[in-house]
Amino acid sequence: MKKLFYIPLALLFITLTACEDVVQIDLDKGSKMYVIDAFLNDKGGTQTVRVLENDSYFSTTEAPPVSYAQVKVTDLTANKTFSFTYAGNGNYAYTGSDTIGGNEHLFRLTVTIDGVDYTSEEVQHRKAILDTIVPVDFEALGFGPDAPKGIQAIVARDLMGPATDYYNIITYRNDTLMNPTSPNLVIDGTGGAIPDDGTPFRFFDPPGIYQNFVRFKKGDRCRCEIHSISHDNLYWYIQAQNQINNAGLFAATPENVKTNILTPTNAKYKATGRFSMAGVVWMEVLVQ
Amino acid sequence: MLRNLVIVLFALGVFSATGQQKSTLSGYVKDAKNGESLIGATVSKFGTTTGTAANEYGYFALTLPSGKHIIAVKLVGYKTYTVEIDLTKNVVKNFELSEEGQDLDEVVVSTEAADKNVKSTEMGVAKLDIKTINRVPALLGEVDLVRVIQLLPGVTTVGEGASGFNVRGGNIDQNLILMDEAPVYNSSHLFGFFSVFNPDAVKDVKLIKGGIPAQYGGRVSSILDVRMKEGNSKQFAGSGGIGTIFSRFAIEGPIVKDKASFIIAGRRSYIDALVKPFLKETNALKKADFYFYDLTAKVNWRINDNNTVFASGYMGRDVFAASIFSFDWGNNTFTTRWNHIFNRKLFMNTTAYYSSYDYKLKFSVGKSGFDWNSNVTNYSLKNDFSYYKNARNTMRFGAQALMYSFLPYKATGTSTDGTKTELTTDRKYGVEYSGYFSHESKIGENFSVEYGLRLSYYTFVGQAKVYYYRDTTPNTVRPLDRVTTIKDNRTIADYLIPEPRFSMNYVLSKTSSVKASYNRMAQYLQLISNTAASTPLDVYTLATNNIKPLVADQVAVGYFRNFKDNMFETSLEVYYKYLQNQLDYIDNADLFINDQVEAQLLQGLGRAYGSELYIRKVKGKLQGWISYTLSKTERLVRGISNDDWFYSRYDRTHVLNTSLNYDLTKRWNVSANFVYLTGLPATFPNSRVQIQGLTIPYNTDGVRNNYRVTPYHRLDLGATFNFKKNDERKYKQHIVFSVYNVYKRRNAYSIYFRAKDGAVNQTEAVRFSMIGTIVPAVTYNFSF
Repeated sequence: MKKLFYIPLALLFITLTACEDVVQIDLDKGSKMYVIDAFLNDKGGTQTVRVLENDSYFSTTEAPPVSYAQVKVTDLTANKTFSFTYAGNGNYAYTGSDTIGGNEHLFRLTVTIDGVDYTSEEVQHRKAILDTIVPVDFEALGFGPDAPKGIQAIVARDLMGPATDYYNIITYRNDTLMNPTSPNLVIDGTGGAIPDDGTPFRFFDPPGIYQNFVRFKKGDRCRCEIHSISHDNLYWYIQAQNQINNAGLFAATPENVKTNILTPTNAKYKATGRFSMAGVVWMEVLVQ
Repeated sequence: MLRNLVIVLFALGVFSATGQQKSTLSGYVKDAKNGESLIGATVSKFGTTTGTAANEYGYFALTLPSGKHIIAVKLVGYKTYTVEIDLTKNVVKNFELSEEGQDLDEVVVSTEAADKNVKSTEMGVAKLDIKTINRVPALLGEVDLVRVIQLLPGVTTVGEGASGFNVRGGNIDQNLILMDEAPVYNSSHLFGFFSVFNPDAVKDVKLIKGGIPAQYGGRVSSILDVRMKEGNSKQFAGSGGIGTIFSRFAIEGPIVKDKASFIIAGRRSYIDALVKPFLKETNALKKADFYFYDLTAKVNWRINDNNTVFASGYMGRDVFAASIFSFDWGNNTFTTRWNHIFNRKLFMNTTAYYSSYDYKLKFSVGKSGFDWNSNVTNYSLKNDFSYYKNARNTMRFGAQALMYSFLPYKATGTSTDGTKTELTTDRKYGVEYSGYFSHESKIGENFSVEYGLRLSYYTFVGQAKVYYYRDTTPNTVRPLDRVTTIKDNRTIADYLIPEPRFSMNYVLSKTSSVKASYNRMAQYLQLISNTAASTPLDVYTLATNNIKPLVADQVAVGYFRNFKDNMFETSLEVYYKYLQNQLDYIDNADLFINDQVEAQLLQGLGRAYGSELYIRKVKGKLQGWISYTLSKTERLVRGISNDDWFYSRYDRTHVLNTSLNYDLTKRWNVSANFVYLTGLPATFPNSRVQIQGLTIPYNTDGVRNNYRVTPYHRLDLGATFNFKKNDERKYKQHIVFSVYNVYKRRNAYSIYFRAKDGAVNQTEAVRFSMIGTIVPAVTYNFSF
């Protein structure tokens, strides 16, 4: 939301006076940390946890992978454990036949490195109901004759209260992820502006009506997934975006994005990263 | 100990009655040309140090032994007036001073020195007259009061385009900016490039950084007291200018000659119209509006010798609108004042004012949209009394009631089917009551002291929804304990803070003195902003049950010396300021449209200390000043930066300011500024992490402000050409040529870090400069 409001301000300044140029900065190298990237869901199939080390900011190589960790996820509600095996490049994969997941189940991630357990717990929240995917006429919505064409809208229903629901909407065009670094985040269906009442909501995808994106054409396959995530994970996405795009006149004081990975007090190295357990509904249509 | 000292001083001053018969000379000091009262003009017994200074309304009262006296009335820039007065009884006499000549051959290098800087108890005070301000080279050729203030020692800014200014390590919200006594919440136009003060309407500017007198309160770092012109009471006059970015016009004149007068001054920018032709059709700003305007007006009426009333107002607005959004913000103030003279020694001013700041942000597409409003409103009534007991003792006392009404946000979302949903937080109300007393006394020939006490009582009142939070680990959101709705105006939280004030001056010689001061200040509202530059969207928050008032203690010591018959004024001041309950924020705080924002606020300590060297040449062809400040500003907030002291984001170790102007000929004046400031502290990453395909900067040490951006320095040049004068014609005109940032320095406003476009695992640092090029400008000014 905040970034949205700064767009006009930034536009004005950049147009009038401001300038940017790449400069060389000599930065210290930070102390070693482990970075745990564990965004799991209940779709089934292969689930992956990635364990890396941090890297110096201006490094030009991949972050160093950690190949000597043990990774497991425990469904504390169902009392089941899922073990992950190393698949190279810092990736640990679960390929078992049992699906990890369960509405309102509590899950615990455990990553053991050099005998130290780094843990995190997350609840898989209830899912939205995805009704249809339909084309949208932006011109008819008042965006004028220059409005982009070929946009698809997801029509879905948020579940009624009392809980607030948080979603990340992911879209594929012919199996290509359309928003790899720009999540579509939704609170109770409408970004929090309208309280959840169970009525259908429409969400335009991919995000940002003014971005240059590949529009859907006739014959394309459009696949949309609605990931129900926790409040903290939704705000993790926002915080990460804020830190990545923290520029200009109204840049905020840079801060580390919050982690939900717990580091034991006796650990030699700290860990950061995120564990998320999402419930997913999805639909795929052939664009007409 | 302190109490005993106060009693002794008070006894020496107040009760030093003698049996000698005394009489009082009182009246106003005014400008002979236009009838404007002259603030700070000294009225003294010729050849002695016995005298007084005209107050903010030009009123003075000087009690002397009965008999004949030669009285001298002086003010820098005006010809000294001397007259013999027979004071066998009380005498009321108004004085009118004439300006020194504008032409070089008329300049009087007066022996009537402006040595007030040495002899008064004031320290940490900078006064600027509009003539000085007008001669400083300005961005886009537009004279700006706040930008000139930023050239003074102890005053800095985080960069071009930043609202407000920082004084002795204080945040921008710690400056009480007064326009005819009404506080101004956002002193900037165009995000900070220009201030809200129209120079055509400004009479007097005073910045107080330390030794703050007891009549001022409400902010902890400085007082910027701007007094507007009253309007020419003798004849109609006008002034204005046509500039690169905006034009201005002011008209003033008598309503009843020498009795009542008015002034109206306005400005309107046209940058949008100028820029549009250079924008491509595809640029979103091509069809956008962005401009500002303001209007300042004042009337006054001298009812009789004992009563004068004033009414003044300001309204200004910035507007920025494009196809799907509009954004506008602005201030409004209205002040009425009544000056009453009870007797020759007792002067009263009663002020009632209203001040507000608001912004509106709107997005709309078809039927759907989003509206967001916020506002801050103040109402106040205050009384100030000055009692001129005798030439050695002046007492001031008064009281004020100030009501705050804040609407943090009111947001309305409209869906495509027209359904409206409101997100609104309750208004917050607070009332601040304060009373003060101060006594300025001269003890012997060389020692002067001013001591006082301000007592402020603040109450956070209903109606309100009151949130109570539990304690938790610092730097995490405090969990909500309970919410209570208060439906009447009962007190929810209150604070009583005594604010002692003290300043003294010991005159070492005719041209030198040492001064010392101490003041405690309390502040009951703070700005919520965690960005490098404050945005127009930022909102203030009152002290509440969760937010304690900000309190600052400051001590300062200074040595003042004038040289060459007061041609050069110099001073060296050393200060130490200690702040309690400064606002900070948990990491990743959500400060907008959040009714539980207080759960994400932290309060901590601050300290600022430094020394300021100031050398100013006040006479001759070459005038101006050089100042150097060495300082440090730090914060300590539990949960931030490993619980250790860290640099505040506006800390500048070295600041060198030079502002000089030179009368080349009768018609040409040239001027130059050079500034050098240590780069601002900044938090740089020392690492990066990769999660979900995102390359995120990371600081493994958790130290805030662990680096500095490159130093800021800039040279500006200016030249003023005065058209040939004709004494027969009232019309005068001059052109100002200015070149800002002469050597095109790309001063880093900030440095940020990002992933390189299209490159895998490639990151880079980017310098963001607000003004990265030379900015020439021409402004035409006129007066009649």
